[in-house]
Amino acid sequence: MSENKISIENACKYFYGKERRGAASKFVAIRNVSLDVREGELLSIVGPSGCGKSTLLDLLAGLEPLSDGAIYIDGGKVTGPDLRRGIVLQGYALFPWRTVRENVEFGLEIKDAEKKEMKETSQHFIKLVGLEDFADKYPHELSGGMRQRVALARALAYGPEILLMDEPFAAVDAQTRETLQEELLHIWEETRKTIIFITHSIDEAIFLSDRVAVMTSSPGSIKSILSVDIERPRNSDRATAEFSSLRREIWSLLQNDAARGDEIEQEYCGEKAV
Amino acid sequence: MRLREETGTSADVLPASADFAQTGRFGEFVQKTCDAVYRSLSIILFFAIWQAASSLEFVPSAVIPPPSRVASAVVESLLEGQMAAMLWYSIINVALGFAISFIICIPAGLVIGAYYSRFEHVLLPFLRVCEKLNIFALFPVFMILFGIGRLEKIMVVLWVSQWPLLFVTIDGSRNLDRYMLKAARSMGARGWKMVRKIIIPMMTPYIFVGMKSSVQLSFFMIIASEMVGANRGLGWLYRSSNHAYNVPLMYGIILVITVLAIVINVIFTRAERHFLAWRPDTFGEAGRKRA
Repeated sequence: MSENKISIENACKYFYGKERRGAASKFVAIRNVSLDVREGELLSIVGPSGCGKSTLLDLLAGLEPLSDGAIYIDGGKVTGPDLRRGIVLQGYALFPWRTVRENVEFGLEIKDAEKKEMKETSQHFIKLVGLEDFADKYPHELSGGMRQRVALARALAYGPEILLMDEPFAAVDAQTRETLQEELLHIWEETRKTIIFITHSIDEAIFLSDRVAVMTSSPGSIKSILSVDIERPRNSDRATAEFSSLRREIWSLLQNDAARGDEIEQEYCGEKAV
Repeated sequence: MRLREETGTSADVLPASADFAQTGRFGEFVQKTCDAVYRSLSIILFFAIWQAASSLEFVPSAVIPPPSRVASAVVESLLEGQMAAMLWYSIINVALGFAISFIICIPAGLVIGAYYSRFEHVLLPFLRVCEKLNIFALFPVFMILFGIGRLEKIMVVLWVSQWPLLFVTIDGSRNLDRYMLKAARSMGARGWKMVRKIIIPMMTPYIFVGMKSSVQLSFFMIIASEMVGANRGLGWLYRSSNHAYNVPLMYGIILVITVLAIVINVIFTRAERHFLAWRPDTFGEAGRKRA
């Protein structure tokens, strides 16, 4: 086993509700999550809505402080966001007042990179995601799949070692989704980034990953981690026996938990808005 | 914005210039003139009927002089230099008052919006009450406090223009897109860079809405306040032409004020097109092509 790139040790995250007459409500979003991710690995996290997947990603990105436990990257403790981790959020989160190129250059701009370097880098990554002809378009002029590619290029452009992806393909149609999955694998093979990919699609998780972590809700914790030993490049029809048996296994792990998912999500969102 | 213009030239303007080459410069000119006439037909008709009714004495021309006399009164006043000086005086006062209000309200709105829950019960009810105060009732108060003159006019403008700006900025600041902020933060944006590169562009649509109503309201109110008490300005000129029974000039000033309002509106629409070209819902396809 190669060195651990990321190691999560007993991560906990609580949210506190507004205090009403002294009684503060506490919501446990994540409890005692421990997970090691190897260098260059593509690991998926699947789970029902509201199980704390996105919260875990926020913790990994350093966007939210942990309530307890620790996360280490290359042995160093995560204390805040930094450019070693790129994040691709649900719903793209592109900046609509910036063109594709300006979006991709954002991270470099923040780093005060030189104009020339910025231009070259953005050109490279726009090309990598196949959007050369759209570099000067605004996000609203693009299709959902294209916007997703921009978000990916934007996260890659400032050269992070780890890519954190939060249900990145959830908002596009099924066909685009499959294309994007294949493109992601292609980019992963080319760049050998460590990728943590959050999804609620079991198929997507199996197709993409080396390992799949199954999360359950209330409180969010990791129930099981499965290795996907299907040889790459994987068959895109996803109908092999190995694929099916993995799918069944993950499905049954999630089954007991799914019923509670919706209820939890509502509560979770309420807490988060506070 | 620079990049937007580049795309503009390649994608949008090219077909238009190809068209241009076909019809020629003169054809283009005729076409545009015809369009303009067609679109202003109702206005042209209005003035034509007015002219006819007044010069044929269907209406007493002493009360409603024909537009030709109104126009010559305006020209006369312009040539004397009085009209231009008064117009300029009013515009400068609005500009100064608005600028001060902008400098105060945008940061204040941002801060109040960011800590909304803290200000909600403490500060906002008070601000809402202030906003509801009748400005006409306040004119004499301002005159007592600041004396009739430039300072008082600037304060009137400051007072009326701050509310739309402030409330709209608070609104924008409360509705910042959480995901975009998160994305920016994950890429290391913090502090002033965050404000400049993310928060301000995100707020621009809101700020524009506020600015537009602020400036319109400011002109409205400064003319009203100049009519109540002043010794300079467009409102004062109106009032004094009224006292001097210079009826054509009165109508002329009404027209000048209207034209001023239209010009302001055009300036804002242009600016909006320039700064908010990235917005799909601002003007649609046609808007972006024209920009």
